[in-house]
Amino acid sequence: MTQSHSHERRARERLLCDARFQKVVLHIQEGDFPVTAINYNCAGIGIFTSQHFPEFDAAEISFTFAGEDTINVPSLPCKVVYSQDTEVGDQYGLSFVSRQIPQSLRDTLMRIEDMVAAQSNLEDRYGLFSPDT
Amino acid sequence: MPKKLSELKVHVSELALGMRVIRLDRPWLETDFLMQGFVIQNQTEIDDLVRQCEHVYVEATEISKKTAHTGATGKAPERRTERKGLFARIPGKKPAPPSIARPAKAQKTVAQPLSTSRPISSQRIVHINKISTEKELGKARVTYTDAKQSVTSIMEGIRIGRALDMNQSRQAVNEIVDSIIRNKDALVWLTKIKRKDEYTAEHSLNVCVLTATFARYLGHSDDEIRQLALCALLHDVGKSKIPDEILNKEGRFTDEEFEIMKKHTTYGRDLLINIKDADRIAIDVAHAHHERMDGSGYPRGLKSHQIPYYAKVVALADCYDAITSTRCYDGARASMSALDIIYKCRGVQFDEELALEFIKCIGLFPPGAIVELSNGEVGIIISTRDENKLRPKILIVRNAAKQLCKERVVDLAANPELSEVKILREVPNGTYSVDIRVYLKKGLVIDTASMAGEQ
Repeated sequence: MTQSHSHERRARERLLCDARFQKVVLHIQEGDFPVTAINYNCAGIGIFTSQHFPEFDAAEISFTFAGEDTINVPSLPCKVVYSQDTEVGDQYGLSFVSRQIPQSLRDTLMRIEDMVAAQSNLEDRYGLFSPDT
Repeated sequence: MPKKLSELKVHVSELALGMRVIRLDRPWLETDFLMQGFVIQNQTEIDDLVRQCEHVYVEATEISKKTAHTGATGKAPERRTERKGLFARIPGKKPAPPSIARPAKAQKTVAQPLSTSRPISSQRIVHINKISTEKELGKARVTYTDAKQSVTSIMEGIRIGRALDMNQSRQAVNEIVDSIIRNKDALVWLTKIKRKDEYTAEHSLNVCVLTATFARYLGHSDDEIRQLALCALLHDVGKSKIPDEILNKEGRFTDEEFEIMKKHTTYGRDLLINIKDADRIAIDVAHAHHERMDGSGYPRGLKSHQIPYYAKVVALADCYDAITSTRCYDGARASMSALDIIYKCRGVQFDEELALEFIKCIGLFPPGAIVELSNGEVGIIISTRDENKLRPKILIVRNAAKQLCKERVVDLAANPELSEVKILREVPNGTYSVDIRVYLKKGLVIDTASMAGEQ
């Protein structure tokens, strides 16, 4: 199941995941796999892995957000909205299935997005292009 | 004056980790070693050599007395000399650039581990554009098309059993590098165009272009840029040994298919090692471009200090083009997705320092990228300045209502009245019906006066 799109479909900007995203684990039928969180908003998360996973449409993802308080996000149901397998690694865009997520957790996801946004440099995403860098 | 040697006879008691064993004192077939030539990675391999041989031949390199003395005084080795160590592994294969050539009497030949790092902060050559993007683009299109035909011909030739033509490869590389030295942006434009039916050849070419552009950015000499570009062009040559049904498969690879795909690194090494005039570092790059800093790469699981510097450079361009291409499918993901991955995987998958430099080189909005501005307009990045990558020159092609408009060039860095206008985001090719192929075909409509002084 591989999809690609020639049009931007994201309603919300994906923010670059920072070092506060920890212990990101993808749960699929074949097992639990640590992955790298790439970008995030309260509606979904982009992940990357050098492992080659079997094909999957649905999964759960869990992570720890180590902000001022440590937030443990339990297994969030998500569906694959984008995937690309390459020799350098596999890339997935996962959309959280909000109807299966309790409101309190949805609020937490929103709060995490706000905390990431607060420390994001929206103009200089990697902090490498400002005059003093 | 010591004689120049490409290999050095070493008693097995003198072997050390990192040395590349290229010959034994007896036929390989009479030993337990499966590989006919390898880099010593652990004590077990040394023990195996001690058990089966009295002496072996390892790759030699040259170190000037000056460098040796510098090391003895505890000062950091001079950067360009460190890079030379990599080039000089096979003397005579590639002449040293004038700036780093030194008299033979000042050289001695020693065996030492491969050079795997080239710190990038000192003695950069500053390359400036000699021609505007607008003027170079026409030539670049011809160069790109010709080079793609060459790469296709090379790959197809190998498939039918023809030997790899290094002259053809070098000729293609020279034209590409000549263009990039004249102007850093024009060929990068062309890498934005992805054709699903020509992925393998196009990918090799794009990695070559991106590597040469990166090498120019890093401040390598012209000769070094050419060598890096050649390594990049040939990095995936082993894919010509992968069955078509796997190589061109639409959809995900099975585990078995993925394992076969991974063999392209070893196939590439085997192909190049049998080419008489192949650059030795190209063999290393073909073999090691999927190795990772954390040791989890393939085929050998090398640690970061064992991965050749050139392979680390090519790996970044390889990743960037692979992620921005959608193999066998329509569309392409935005550059930012690839840069996000490189940024997040720095130090783990990619060399950390090089990864950050690569992101700086490409910039948030590379040439050919389609971007949406804060005033709602949509444009295509024409060119960037290294000193201000956030404020490039843009060809505006859609108005704030995302409708066709009269095309015009805006230079965000040069127009004070545009100081409030920012680039919101890059969008994939095809968004708002903007197709960069259309603009390439008809040529850029640029106010030439505004291009004056472009760097």
